[in-house]
Amino acid sequence: MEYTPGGMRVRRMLAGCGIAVAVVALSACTPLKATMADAAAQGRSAVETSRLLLVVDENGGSGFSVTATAFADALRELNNAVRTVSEADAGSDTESDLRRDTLDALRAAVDAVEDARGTVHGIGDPDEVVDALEQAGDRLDGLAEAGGAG
Amino acid sequence: MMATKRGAGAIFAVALGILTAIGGFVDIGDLVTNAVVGSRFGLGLVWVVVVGVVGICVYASMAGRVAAVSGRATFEIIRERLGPRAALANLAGSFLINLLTVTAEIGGIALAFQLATSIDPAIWVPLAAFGVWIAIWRVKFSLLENVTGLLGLALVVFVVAVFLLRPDWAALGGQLVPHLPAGENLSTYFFYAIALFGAAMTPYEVFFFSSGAIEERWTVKALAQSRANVLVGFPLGGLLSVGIAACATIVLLPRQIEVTSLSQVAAPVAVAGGTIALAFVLVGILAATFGAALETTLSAGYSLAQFFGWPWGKFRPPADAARFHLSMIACVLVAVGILATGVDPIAVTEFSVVFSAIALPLTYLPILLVANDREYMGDAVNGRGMNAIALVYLVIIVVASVAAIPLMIVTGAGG
Repeated sequence: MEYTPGGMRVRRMLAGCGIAVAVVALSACTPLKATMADAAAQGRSAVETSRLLLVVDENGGSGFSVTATAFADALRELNNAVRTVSEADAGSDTESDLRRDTLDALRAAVDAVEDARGTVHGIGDPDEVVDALEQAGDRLDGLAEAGGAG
Repeated sequence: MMATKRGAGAIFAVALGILTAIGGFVDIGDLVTNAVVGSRFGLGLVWVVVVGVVGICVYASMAGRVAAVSGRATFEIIRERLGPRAALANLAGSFLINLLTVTAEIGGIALAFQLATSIDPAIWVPLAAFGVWIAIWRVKFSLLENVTGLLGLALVVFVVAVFLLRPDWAALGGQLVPHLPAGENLSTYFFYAIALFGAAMTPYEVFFFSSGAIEERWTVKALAQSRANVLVGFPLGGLLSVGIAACATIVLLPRQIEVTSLSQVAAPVAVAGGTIALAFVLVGILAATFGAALETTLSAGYSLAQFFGWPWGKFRPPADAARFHLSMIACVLVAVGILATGVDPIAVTEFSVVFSAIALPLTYLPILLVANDREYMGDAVNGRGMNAIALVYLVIIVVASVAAIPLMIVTGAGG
C-alpha cells in the first residue's frame, strides 16, 4: 500500500469526520433518565417563573403585557416538556414508570400555571393556586434532582 | 465667545458619542446571554464580559484609526490586502453570521413588542422588518445612531434594579470569583464563556464602527473623540451587561429559573421597580434591538458593497447606491423568511452569539493586518504595545473560535 501526502490527508479528514459523527451520535443517545430529568427541570423553571409572576402581580408590577407574555412563555415551555416526555421511548418497566410520573407531574404543573394565570385576572382562589404551584414545583424538583438535573 | 461655543460644542459631541456608545452597546445577544448566564452561573462569568469589552475596545479603536487615516473602511481594504479569494471566504463567513444576527435582532424587536402588547411576535416580525428598512432608507445616519443609542440608555434600569433589589452585597461580590455552581460542568461553563465573549465582541460592531467612520467623514483630528467613545462608552455599556447578569443572579438563580424567553429577562426589573421600571426596560429593549437591527443590516450592506466595489453609504442618495440598498432589503427579507418558519428568536440569538465567536478571527485578523500596513497607514501603524495586546486577543479569539463547535456538540448547545 503506497502512502502519499494526499492520501494521508484524506485518511486524516475521514478519521476526523468519523470522530465528529461518533460524538454527535453519542450526544444524541441521551439515556431516558436524563431526558426525564431535563424535562422536569424545564417544567420546574416554568413553575418557578409563574410563582415569581404572582409576586410581581401582588406588588403591582405587572404592567403592560409582560406578565401575560411570561405566563404564555411558561406554558409553552411546559407543553414542550410534555411533548418531549410523551415522545421518549421507555425500554423497561422502570423507565415506563419514570416516564408516567414525569408526565403526570408536568400535566399537574400545566394545570397549576393555567390557574395562576387565571388568578391574575381575578379568577380562582389565589391561596389554592399558590399551594398548587408549590406542590407542582416540589414534585418536578424531586424528579429533576433524582435524574441528576439538579 | 466663539471659542467658548466651539468648546461647548466639542464637549457636547464627545458626551453624545459616549452616551450613544453606552446605549448602543447592548443588543439582543447581550440581553439574552447575560440573563441566561446570570441565572445559571451567577456572576462567575463576569470576567468574560470584562475580557470581551477590553477586546472590542482594542479592535474597534484600531478599525476607527484605519478608517480615519486611510479614508476607507477596513473591509474595503481587505480585498486589496488579502486578495479576492481569501477576502471572498472572509466575506462569506462574516456575512452569514451577520445575517443570523440580523434575524436575531428583528426577532428581538418582535419579542419586545409582544412584551408591550401580548400580540403574537409573528405578527410583529414583518412590521419590525418594515420599520428597519424604512429607517435605513429615509433617516439620516447620525439620527439613527443617536436616537437608538440614547433610548438604549433606558437599560440602565437593570443597574438601578440591582440596588432596588437590596441584595446581600458580600454574597453577590463573592460570586465574582470564577466558580462552577453545583449541577454545572466545565464544558457548559466554557460553552457559555464563549457565548458571552461572542456577544461582547460581535463582529458587526467593528464593521459598523469602521464604515460609520466613513459615513461621518472622520479625519485624523476626530480620532481623540472616537477613542473617547470607545474607551469610555463601551466599558460603561459593558456595565449594563453586568447589570443584566446581576439581576438574573439575584432573582432567577435562587429560584432555579432558567432563562428561555425575553419576559424572564425583564421579570427581575418588575420585581425591583414595578411598572415604571418595566416601562424603562421595554423602551430600552426596543431601542437596543432596533438599533442593533439597523447596525447589522447596514453592516451586511457595507460588507457586500465594499467587497464588490459598489457605491455605498447613507451619505449617498439611495439611487446612487442602489445595489447597497437592494442587498440590505434582501437581507431583511431573508431574516423575515427565517423567522416565518416559526423558529424561536431566542434560540436564533443563542446560536448567533456562538457562531459569532466562531467567525471572530475572520473579522479581527484582517483589521490587525491592515493596521500594521504602512502602505495604508503611513506612520499611524500600530505601536508595539497595541500589537502585543492585539496579538494576545487574537490568540484568545482563535482558541474561542476553535473550541466553540466541539463544546456546542458536547453540551448540546449549553444543555
